[in-house]
Amino acid sequence: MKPDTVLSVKDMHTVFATPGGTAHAIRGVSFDLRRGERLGIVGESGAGKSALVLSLLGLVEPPGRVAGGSVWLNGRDLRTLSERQMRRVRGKEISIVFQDPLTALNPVRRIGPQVAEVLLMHGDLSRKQARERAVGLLADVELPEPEKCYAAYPHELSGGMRQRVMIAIALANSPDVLIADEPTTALDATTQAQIITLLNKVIEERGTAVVMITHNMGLVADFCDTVQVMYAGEVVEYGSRDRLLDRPAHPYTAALLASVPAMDARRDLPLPALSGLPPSLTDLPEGCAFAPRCPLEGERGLCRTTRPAPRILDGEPDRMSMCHFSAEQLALTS
Amino acid sequence: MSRFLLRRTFSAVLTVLGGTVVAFVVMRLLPGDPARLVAGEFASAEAVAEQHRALGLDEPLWSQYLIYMADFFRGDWGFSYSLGEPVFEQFVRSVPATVELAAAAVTLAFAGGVIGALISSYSRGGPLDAAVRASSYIGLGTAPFWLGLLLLIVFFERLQWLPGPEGRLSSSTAAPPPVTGLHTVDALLAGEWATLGDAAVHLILPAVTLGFVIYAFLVRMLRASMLELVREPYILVARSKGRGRWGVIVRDVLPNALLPAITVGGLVLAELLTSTVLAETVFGWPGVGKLVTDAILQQDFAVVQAFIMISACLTVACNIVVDLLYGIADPRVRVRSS
Repeated sequence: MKPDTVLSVKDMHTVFATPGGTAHAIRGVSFDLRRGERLGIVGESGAGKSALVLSLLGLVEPPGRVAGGSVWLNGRDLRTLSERQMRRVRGKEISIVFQDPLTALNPVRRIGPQVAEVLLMHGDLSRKQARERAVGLLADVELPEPEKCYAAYPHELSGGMRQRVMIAIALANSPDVLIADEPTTALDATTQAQIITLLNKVIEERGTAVVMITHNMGLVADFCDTVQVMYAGEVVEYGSRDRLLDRPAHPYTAALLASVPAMDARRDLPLPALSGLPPSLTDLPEGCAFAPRCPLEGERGLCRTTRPAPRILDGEPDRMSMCHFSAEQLALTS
Repeated sequence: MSRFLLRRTFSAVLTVLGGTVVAFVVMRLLPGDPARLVAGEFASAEAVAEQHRALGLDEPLWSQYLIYMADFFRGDWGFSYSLGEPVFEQFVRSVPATVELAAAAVTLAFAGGVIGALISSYSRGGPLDAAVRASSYIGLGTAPFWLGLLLLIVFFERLQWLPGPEGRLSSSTAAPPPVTGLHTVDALLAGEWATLGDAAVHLILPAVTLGFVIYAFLVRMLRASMLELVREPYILVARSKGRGRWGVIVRDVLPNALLPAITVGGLVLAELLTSTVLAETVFGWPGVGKLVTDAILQQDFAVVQAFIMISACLTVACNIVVDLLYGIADPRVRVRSS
């Protein structure tokens, strides 16, 4: 663990009991997050991104459970904490902005108290102080007329405004780690850009480390320092944004990047898409989970039989790829 | 808001009028001549004809209706020949008893329903949840009069913890000075603690009997909507703020689940005020239900007709109150109607 690491996840396993058997949603995910770092986690739907979020917060509910691993935050393993202790961590040391701001606020309660309560729960403020702080937070996220917003009900605000409220709630106690779970997916393009600008501003002020869960490669390129690609519950590639986007070492990453439409792409050609579907999490293939869809695969029996070990790429520190043939993939793009 | 209220009141008045017309016509279509009943079995034809005229039965039907309605709103609800007194006075006497019983039943049912639903959603799938669900099935499948008899056998006859089917008070207890007509409230106002206790213990069994079905219905509905709401993203947000499971259920889930319960509650109350017949009969409770059953058996038209009028007004009134309450409780409705 590097000295400035705030969050360190080690070999996390999360499973869900389903009628079709045990679904392995997270299979041995490990990563470190440095203070102020912005880590992007990308992958298709069903890759385990949301399960990872719940596992980090300790909010996996039956029929799911975290089956193994550790989550180190501020020097202690969150997995060993009691629920009571965990409640003091959530919303204070680690908090979250969810995907859909339209459903993330309680419809029958006013905005203000929903912001103020996270302050009241974690500090010994008086109601009046919490109210003042909450109005201040609403001003911080650049909501016009924060006093008026304080007294408003969620349905009286637009989607973008509500997402600003969610950011105010998430950052109220200046957490060490902010998880942003597809924070712009439900918003229109203009609002997306505004929300990202705002996020940039408020986390820079506070030095918050961010885990950005997304499937939007453009957002990764704009916002993140490091990127981690998930496939079927595993991290298949990890690296700094520039290295990973320019020279993917895993064929899955390469395929994801190839499917991003480019401004100068020829419009008469179909967008390259990855064929096939992710494997069923209840019935994973024996070897590499990506092998059945892998464009590199060809005759390679190795991929079908042996699960690739995470390997550090030669000459690239902080770079990992979980593919037997990373060197070949790298050679394709260099 | 006021326009909404105006429109709502207008349609309510129409509904009540429609209900009274139907009731009036149906009552006239029934076999049996009220004049004959009033005059007596052995009265002469002339006496019956005389009575016919006195009752206004020789007028055309529409004119009878208008006279009746005009009298009704002036407080003249006709004369009950079977008991030999004005119908209005009978209702004044029996309505408070029913209101007291219904209010107690609904209060018990709501308290039980909310607590049961909270327990159920907290321990979903556990033994407590199973117990709550079982109680709900039992409540929905049990006839109230049978439950009433069962409760009497257990708590009155065997255990002797609670009084038997003797009405609202023990024979040795005098009624408190009437203010509201509700014995418990009147006793409280007068500071007569012994009377209050006596009225309260007399209320328990009938209220439980009447409230159990409502509880069963409510707990089922609340539990279902709470288990649905637990999956809402804002519940996860509340959890991610550091609120505990119980706190989330009480503070974030329950307020949302209570909205549909308001609707149900209003309908149930309207229904109750007019359907306490069986429970009142079992417990000798001198309420509207008992008054009306007796009147039907005696073919006392005036009483039955007044009862229909009151039922129509009450049902419509409860509906309006529900709409208003809903508007207050749900901020989304508030905006739409203003």
